[in-house]
Amino acid sequence: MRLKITYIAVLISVFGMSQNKELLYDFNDLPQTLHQNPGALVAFDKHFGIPLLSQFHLNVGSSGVSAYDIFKNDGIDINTKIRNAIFSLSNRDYFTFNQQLEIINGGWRKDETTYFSYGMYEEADVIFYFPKELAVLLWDGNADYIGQSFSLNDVNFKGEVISVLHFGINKQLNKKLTIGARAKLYSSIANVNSRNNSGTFTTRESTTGDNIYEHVFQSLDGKVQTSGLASLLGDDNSDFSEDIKTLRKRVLFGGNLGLGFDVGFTYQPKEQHVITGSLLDVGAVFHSKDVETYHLNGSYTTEGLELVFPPLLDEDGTTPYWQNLEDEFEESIQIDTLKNKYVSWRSTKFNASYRYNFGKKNDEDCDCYAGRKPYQNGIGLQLFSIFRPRQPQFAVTAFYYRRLFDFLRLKFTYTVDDFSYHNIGLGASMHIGSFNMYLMGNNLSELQNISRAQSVSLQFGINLIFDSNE
Amino acid sequence: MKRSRLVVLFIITVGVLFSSSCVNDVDFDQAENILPTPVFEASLIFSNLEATNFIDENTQQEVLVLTDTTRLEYINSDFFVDQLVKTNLTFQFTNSLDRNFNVDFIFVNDNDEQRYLAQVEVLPGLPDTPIFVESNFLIEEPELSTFEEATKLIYRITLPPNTNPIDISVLGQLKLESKATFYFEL
Repeated sequence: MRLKITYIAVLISVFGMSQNKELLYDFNDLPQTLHQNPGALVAFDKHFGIPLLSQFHLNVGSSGVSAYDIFKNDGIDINTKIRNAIFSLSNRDYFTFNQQLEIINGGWRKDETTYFSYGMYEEADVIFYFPKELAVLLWDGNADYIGQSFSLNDVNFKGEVISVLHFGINKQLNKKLTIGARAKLYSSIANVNSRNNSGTFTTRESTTGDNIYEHVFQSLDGKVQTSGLASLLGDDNSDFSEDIKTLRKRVLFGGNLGLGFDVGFTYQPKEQHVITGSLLDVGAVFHSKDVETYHLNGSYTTEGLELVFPPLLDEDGTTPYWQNLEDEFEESIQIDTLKNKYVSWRSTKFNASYRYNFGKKNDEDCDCYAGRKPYQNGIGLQLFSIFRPRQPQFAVTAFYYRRLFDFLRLKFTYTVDDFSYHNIGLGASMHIGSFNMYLMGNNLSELQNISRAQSVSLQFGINLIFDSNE
Repeated sequence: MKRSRLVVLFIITVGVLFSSSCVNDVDFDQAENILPTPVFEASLIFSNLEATNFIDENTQQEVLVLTDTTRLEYINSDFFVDQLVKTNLTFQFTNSLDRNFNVDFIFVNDNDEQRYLAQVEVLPGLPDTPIFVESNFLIEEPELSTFEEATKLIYRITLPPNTNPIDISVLGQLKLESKATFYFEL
């Protein structure tokens, strides 16, 4: 059963990530917007997130297949559906998982044009490209594919759990331009990745004619880099609390460290027109502690065991054909465990947006929108991109923002990305005095049947936001 | 007052919206039925014997029996015992020696007790017109469990009495090619 689970895990498995937060981006009522654009317009004087509750973010995605495709109750044998899914996916399809939890988040205004923010959050991020050829080989076997090569090139995944300590500065240079930057210190809790793999496995008709088939392992070169895992998996102790202690240390910057930054800007050529852009997580983690790299390499061809009937054989003696084959294989194809240091780059994200504001309220509304009377409506477009091992992913979002009854700010989004062409999202932020609570989710059109959705994204949080003008 | 009512309304609306999500028309119990059934083909043994192989060096006479043995560690492995549902063994002979042979493929355990036997009769051929013989052996339960106890394969060639024994100068070969097809249920 465990084998079966592993098998299925390899085939259908694992998540990857998409970090688009189209609802949160350019949502200037929330301090979390500063994590999407450190150069966002800050409309408040001080904020403090409720520890551990200020932001929880979850995003799960699968670019080619949904749970519904596999598990729908249609009377078709599930094995047929899985096989169909394997053949409909390509090695560019991926599964993603991204989760973030803010531990601390706060900020204060230094002067009229400068806002500081700080905090710490935990993030888990996985992307797993579908290893198509390996999946076909494992699901079908090689019998129907004599003469065809199965490539290791399809194996490409990356997973990490890190904690991030950050400090950001937001500076309004003039009425038109606000810029910002955030420095980040990463502490890796665990990291695993594998890419640039190559080599093939082929079963073909023997080229020498000595046997029916030959099996060819051609120039195998595969690598899995890990850090933070060897000590957890390799230790003999079954004492889970020890492992927890180790992990806690790493959360608090006892792990492999890294550095990075975010930058961003907001440009308002005219009051109603707002252009923004940001580049997030430009940085890397340097892995030197508890690293283990597994390297598979070599070539080997075999036609099976040749029995030579040695003439001078005594009664009991036999040639160790099998042992010879095993020895040759192990000499030719090696799996080395290395302790090399390595660098893992973070998945850098790019955001840009254009927004048109309209509909100012005429009554004596608060003057809290970056020192200006707020517009009631905004419409615009956003572009998101994330740099991924195989190719960048893109998403385009059209949005409508609306202030309602003072205390309520809403944002509706329509997003087109790898997962879906009909992703509708809704974000709502409630502001009562200094108390703020927000909830955002996308793929609402699929909420009636969440299993159809190929991606789901949720953000939730509670803040205290202070504005002396209010 | 009006405001607090609106807040309550808002919370209820959002709550209903997000909690109304559900999973329809799907049956996750189907996961129980997931059963990958890969079929793998693997080379087995091969050999190419000439007239000299069948002549006893001491007596310079034709031998009665010729054998060679190899271990096949995987048949008895946990993976095979647990996941293999049937197997097909294919033996192909190309005989260009003017001599008939009775061939036994004897699968034995570590105590040399026979666990499975496959027999093939190879007819005489000629250098210009070799005889091709293909034999398939499908092994399913209940035989399979016994077969899976095997750890070694003995390839035994018996030369039945014949008025035309092999001479050292005779041309031609007895060539064996083989493969196994493994049907797994994982």
